[in-house]
Amino acid sequence: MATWQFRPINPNENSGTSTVDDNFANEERTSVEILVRETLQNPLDARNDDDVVEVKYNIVNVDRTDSEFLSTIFSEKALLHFESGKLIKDKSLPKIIPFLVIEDFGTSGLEGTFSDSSIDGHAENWNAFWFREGEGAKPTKSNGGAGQGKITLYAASEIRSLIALTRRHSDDKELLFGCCRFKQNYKILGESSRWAKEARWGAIENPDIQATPLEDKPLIAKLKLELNLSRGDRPGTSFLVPMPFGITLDNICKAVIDEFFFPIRRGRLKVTVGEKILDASTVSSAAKSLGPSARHTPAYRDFLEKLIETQLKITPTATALAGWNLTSKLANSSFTHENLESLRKSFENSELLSVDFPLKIRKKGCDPTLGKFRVILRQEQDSDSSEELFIRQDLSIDGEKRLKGSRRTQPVFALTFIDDMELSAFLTSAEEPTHRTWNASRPKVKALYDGTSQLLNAVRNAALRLVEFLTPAGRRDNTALALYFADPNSVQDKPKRGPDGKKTPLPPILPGEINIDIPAPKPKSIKFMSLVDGFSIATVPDEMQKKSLPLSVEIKTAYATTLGDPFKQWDAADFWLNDDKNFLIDSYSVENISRDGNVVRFEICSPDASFSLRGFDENRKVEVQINYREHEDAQDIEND
Amino acid sequence: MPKISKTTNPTGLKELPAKAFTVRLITPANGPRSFWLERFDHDLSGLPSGTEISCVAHAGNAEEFFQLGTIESPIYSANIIQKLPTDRPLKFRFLFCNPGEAKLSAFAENIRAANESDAVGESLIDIEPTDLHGPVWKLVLPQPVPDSDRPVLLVERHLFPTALAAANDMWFGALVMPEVMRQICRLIVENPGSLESDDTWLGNWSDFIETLGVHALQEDADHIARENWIDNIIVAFCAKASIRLQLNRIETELTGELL
Repeated sequence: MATWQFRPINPNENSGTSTVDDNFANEERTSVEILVRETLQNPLDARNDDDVVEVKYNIVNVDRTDSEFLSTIFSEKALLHFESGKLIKDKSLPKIIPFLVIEDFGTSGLEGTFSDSSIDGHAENWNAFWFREGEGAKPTKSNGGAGQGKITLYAASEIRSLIALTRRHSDDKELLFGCCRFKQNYKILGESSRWAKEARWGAIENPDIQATPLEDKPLIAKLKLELNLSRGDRPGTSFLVPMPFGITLDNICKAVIDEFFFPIRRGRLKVTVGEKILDASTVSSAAKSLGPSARHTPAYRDFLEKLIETQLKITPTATALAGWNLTSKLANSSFTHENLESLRKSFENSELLSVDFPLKIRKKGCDPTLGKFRVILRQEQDSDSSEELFIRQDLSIDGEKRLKGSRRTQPVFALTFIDDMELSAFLTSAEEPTHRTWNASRPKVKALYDGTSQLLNAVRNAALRLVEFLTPAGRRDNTALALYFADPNSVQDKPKRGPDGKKTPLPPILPGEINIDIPAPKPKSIKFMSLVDGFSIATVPDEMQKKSLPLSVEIKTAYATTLGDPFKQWDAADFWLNDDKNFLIDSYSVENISRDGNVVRFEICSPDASFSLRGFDENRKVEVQINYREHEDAQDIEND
Repeated sequence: MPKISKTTNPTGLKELPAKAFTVRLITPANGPRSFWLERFDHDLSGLPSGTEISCVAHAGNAEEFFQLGTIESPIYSANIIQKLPTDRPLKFRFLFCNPGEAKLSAFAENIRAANESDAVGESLIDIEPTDLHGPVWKLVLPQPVPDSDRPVLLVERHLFPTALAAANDMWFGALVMPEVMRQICRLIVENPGSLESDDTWLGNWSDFIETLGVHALQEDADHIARENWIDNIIVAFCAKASIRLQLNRIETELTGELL
């Protein structure tokens, strides 16, 4: 039987509010973006081997009056606690309860002991997720590690609750469990006892007994059906966030593209949002459809795509020699002679280039180990400023910016790519809880490593140092200041000035230099004349003598448009030529006139004929297309 | 089948050539693009004074509309483009109509920003990163005599390894360029008649000064009149969209608010 386990706290325990939420208050990122980061980062960590991780987001509405599991979540007792904890205003809930459903596939599920919360260890994901805060079970080399990210799932729910159905890779067990994290300890009206901020939803109601998950197969089957889960028998975890607020499938989709374009395009992650699939083959067009609201510019995304295809798995253009990081600038001695030449040539030609930078990592109490990372960049001469990204194991550390602030360098696109496990472990422990920036002074990294600042700065500044090193010495430029001092007389094809300031005239074209006979235009058989409210055409008798009459003529008309084909955009509401009261035809030696919407057809029967059509809006241009041909049995002289 | 395609023109709408316009565009790494009309050739247009100019920036199927004043005093300040996709070619359509009338009298279509097309204009001053051993910049002004080199702005290469790095820097643009303009002006007043001479590099500046809309300096101007003329040039120069834009960027960086 599914039930909530609410727990009164011991009189000696402190009470107050949770401060973990504050670590995720970030004015540069929306709550949806933070939720997406956390919910995609965790499955990427828990991937099985090199499988593509698949995550599905959906919003599903469940009828509260017709759901077995919802009746246990919103039991009378639960509603009393939710109201007392100020999660709901009163006990009147809507009939339809929406759920944000997040399902990951290709992952191992929440592994480890689930019946004893005291067990710790690297493989104890269950306890870490449900019973720990600020100390994840994940090894530090994985993307998480701070153990705080799960709060974003609770914060996404109006009732700060989360249900999870996990199917474990190791034992195929399906476990259903949930938790509510109140903002603070609370009291029930008329009672003196204080209640714990965490309440569990599972198989045990008695707060003195370890809360354990439900393994009730019929209940789990019903839940899967009601929430339309795609889980089936595949391992992984389905997170169910009741009553999500401020979350739509569209803003989830945008956040996924903005935050995880790189691993998706790289083929490491596949995300389905509602019906929309974002994978290696679709994410580029999906990002394009975001237009200017996308985080990365189209040019930078193109740079990322090119380097994914060509630069990640090849030998780099150069490898920095040991000791490159001992000085504040890169020098010729940082590379071999051959490497130097290829680097400079690639940079000058605005080609993609990559450099591997080796580093010694000094973990306390251990011998130094060697790690490395790769910087990939390309000069962008036409850009005003640089764009860059740091990717650590598929996660973008997008708060780190070094090139942007530098006014000294040539504009470039750069990626600092860290895939090395040892270096990733170091950087993870230096990350702020949001994983957007690094901080060499965080207690965790200082406790584990020596020389944290030097090591971190070496990674952070490598792209900047490389660009500064490769930027060629300045050259005299006669266009750069045109922004301020444009020469009004300087346009393309006009004489250019030399360094002396004098204009060098273009070489004159000498008589006889161009010896091309340009044929005279072919005489037309019909002359066109524009009228204020229409047009007229008249035959050219000399030309018409060569024709075999009658001449079939078809005239298409449409009001001119700024964009697109005016004839395709013609609408009967614009005008209707069949209206012979308003559209007047005047003709001479013309027969078989027929009107058809915006088309008029007739036959010219004599070499001296004319036709006029009036009645168009006098304020609008009319596009006129005249097609004519001789009688169908006759020879087409024009085309001979 | 022979075909003739024609367009009627009942209102006598005039199409102006692209060479009547110079449009500049700035695309910052973060934030919206800005454009401004840098030059409009009133004489070439043949349109009467008082004719109103407006501009439609368009990319793909999206458009954004801007009023640009009248042809005798167009608005040269920067306009922020906010609604257009960045992955489609950006073009400008200029529309002209008489005051108070809805009917268009002229238009120009498919105008591209000068720095986005291949026709990057030349500058009247060169720029070169070099070792200055202390100063950040130095303007080398050769005497305006026949066969002399034209001016070059030297910048400290450790700060600005490339010419573009200096030219696009907002602080450098806002602080240094007006002073460069002042030094040019001072040379002009020290060499009366130099603007009219085609034999020296200073003669190339006459059209530029004219675009600033400041009256020519009287030949008999005294010291005070000369200083006033220089100040007027600098004020007009700083009102150019290129300087104004840099000031806006600085203001945004300092206060988070636009001027």
